[in-house]
Amino acid sequence: MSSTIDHLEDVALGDTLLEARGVTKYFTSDSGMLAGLFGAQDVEAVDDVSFELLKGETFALVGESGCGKSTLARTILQLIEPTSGSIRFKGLELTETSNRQLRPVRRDMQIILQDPQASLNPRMKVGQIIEEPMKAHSLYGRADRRERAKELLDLVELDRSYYNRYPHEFSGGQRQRINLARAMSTDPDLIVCDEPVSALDVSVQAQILNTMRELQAEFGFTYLIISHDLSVVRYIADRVAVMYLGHIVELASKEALFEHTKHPYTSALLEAIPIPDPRSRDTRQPLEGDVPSPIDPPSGCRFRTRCPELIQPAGWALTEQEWDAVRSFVRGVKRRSFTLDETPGSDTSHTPSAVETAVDDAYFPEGRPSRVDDIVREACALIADDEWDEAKAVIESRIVEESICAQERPRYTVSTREDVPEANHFVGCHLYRDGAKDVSPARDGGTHRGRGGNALE
Amino acid sequence: MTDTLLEVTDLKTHFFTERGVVRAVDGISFDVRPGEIVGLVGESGAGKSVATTSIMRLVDDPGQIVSGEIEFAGSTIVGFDEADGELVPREEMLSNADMRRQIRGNEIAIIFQDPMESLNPVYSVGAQVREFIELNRDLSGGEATEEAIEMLRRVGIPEAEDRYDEYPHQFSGGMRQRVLIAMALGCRPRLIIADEPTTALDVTVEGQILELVRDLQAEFDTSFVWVTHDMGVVAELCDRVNVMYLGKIVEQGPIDDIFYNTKHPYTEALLSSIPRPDRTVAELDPIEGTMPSARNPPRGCRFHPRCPDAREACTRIDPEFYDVSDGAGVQYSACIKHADVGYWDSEPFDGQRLEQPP
Repeated sequence: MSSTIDHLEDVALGDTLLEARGVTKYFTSDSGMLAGLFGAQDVEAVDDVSFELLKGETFALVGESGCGKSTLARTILQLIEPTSGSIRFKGLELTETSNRQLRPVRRDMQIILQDPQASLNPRMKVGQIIEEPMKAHSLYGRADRRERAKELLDLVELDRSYYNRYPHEFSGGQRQRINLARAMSTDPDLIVCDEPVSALDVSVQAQILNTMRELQAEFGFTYLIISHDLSVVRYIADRVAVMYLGHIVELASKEALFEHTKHPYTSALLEAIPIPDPRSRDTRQPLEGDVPSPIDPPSGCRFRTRCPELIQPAGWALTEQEWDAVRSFVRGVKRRSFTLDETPGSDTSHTPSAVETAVDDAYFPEGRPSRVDDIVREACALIADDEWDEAKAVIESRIVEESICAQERPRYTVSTREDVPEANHFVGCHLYRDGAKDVSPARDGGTHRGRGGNALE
Repeated sequence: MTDTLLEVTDLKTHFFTERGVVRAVDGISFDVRPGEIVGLVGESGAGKSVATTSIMRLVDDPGQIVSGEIEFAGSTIVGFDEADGELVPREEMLSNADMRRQIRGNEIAIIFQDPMESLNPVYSVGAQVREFIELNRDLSGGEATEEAIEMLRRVGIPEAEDRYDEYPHQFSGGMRQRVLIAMALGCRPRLIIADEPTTALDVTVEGQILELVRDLQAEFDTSFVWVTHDMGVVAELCDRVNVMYLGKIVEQGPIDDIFYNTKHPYTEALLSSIPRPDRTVAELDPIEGTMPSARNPPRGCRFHPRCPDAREACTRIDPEFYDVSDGAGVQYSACIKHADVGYWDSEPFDGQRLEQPP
């Protein structure tokens, strides 16, 4: 019987190990009893995302909770079936391979989870835990498995004598080392690490990260790291993809991403990290608002509802100051952050002209740009009648949705270094639409090669 | 006397378990001045949270404050007298009822890491903020409602009036943490203890909260004790810092000295073990080993088994708090390098780095 594993291609260091194209995962809430009554709503956890992993590199998926990074990683491993898209691993199309046929392939891809407590069976001894994947894939004989488990303990810098101990006897860091040994036991190509160190104390984090690096240098593992911690990513990754609400918004080599940040969301994320240096305190502008719901995400660029750099509608020709004023007005209405002279709680309504005066004072002291004059008047009339939601709708449809940011999903590549064509930098932001290569077509959506990084050097 | 709001002296809080005494907090001293943000930083198990619950006198069984003094603005939160060789609570120490009525909430408020555990899921957010304000300040129901809405607006809850009647589950994590800050500040306490309030939040949300705390602190002139494991947050926010290790404060000083004029090997090791968001570090220097149990702490200096500078003397001598001030403010280090007790003459261990005496 020929096994699927025989069809896997050998991949040399630096070549494409895994290629994800247009991967989409929608979760449907139509399975419940009440779904029929309310209609099914899709949660767009991952929406048309493409990237590739090169053998021997460390690729990081970063983003805040709910951005879809864990869903994407699980989809890559076929632990979750994608709604659409293609995932090729060593030349094999995983989405078209049955679970049974996939089984032998799984030994080439392993996963390490965040919580080292929960991912080790408390009733199994360390040795059994490490041997289990080898057993499941019928690798080696009994005695060899035992010997290999002990060697693996050595490799992750644990004592061989721990073979007969139970997980509860170990600290968090040691448990994560056991997880690492287990993941390595089948000699995989790809190890997906979902927040591998975020449950650990900082001093222990460094130990684990260093061990992971050393093992990669020795065995050529490819790591796909999922993390919310950009400091950890900066230390360990070769290439980084930043996710926001189911989209990859920026993808580049680590140096390019951190040193030549392009996307406004990445900038905001980087700026928000507290730097362990009291001399670099500054007054930064924190990102406003919350992440919108993935059930009905914003059109076009998903970050546009919070983006400080929303682009003005084509043909408006406002000066920068004028457009800034319009944007603050938009924000003010959306967040209802401007107050009219009234005592809180009372329902006194205002005349439209009083509202207009207040708006002009707050946002347009230099005078309203004529382009938005009637829009502002219309919104103020609605606000005067306490029809805030309608006022928001007017502003949304007549200002925000006129912007390219709301109309098209941005996908561009910019070259950061002309001499190195593969140093391409993918940016999901319309600010880069001029002079950049548009990579929007779904077939070619944003896959880029960066340098392989330290394992290749 | 006048310019200290909170003074903790040689506080010891131990847990009497069946498997032995856990010396969770074992003789710490620090103070907080009005309008100051003081950091309490350390890894898990350092005793940070036990220290703060001791200040609130909320230590759970089998824990017990066994000795030390805590003075807050002229009141004695914890104080002992010696009688017949035993320590007995001093007479002027506040009773439990006094603590409840006078201190908790209206003089010292506390904000925890998980806002969902501090908010009652079956009451509206506004009602909880109002109740808190009503209980702690002399405001009538109507005034308290107005104040609650005002506080919610101040902490950046959009559409505060509408959201007043919503329930905690309708708020995001960051918004819930804002609600807790509104509650704490609404009572105009002189001191707020913040126990890892941003640890569970996403980094952009954390950024929003830190910014908010800085603004509000400047406006209300509230003092803070900020408990965290994150040196980044400390650098961002604190005026002075206490670094804790295994139940002890090992270093104390102004923020700039802690980072740039570090005087304790643990602080130094901690700083060089953290990955940096602002620059690429070629190689991190982890701290060897793990923190030992507080049930059976190492003899001598508690950090000596993991310390790159440890010498034979460190295994014998229990370090005191030595004044090492040479920077902008008063700085202390609990390392015998800074005392004349024989560190420099003592044998280094094999493979240790060898430093020359100053």
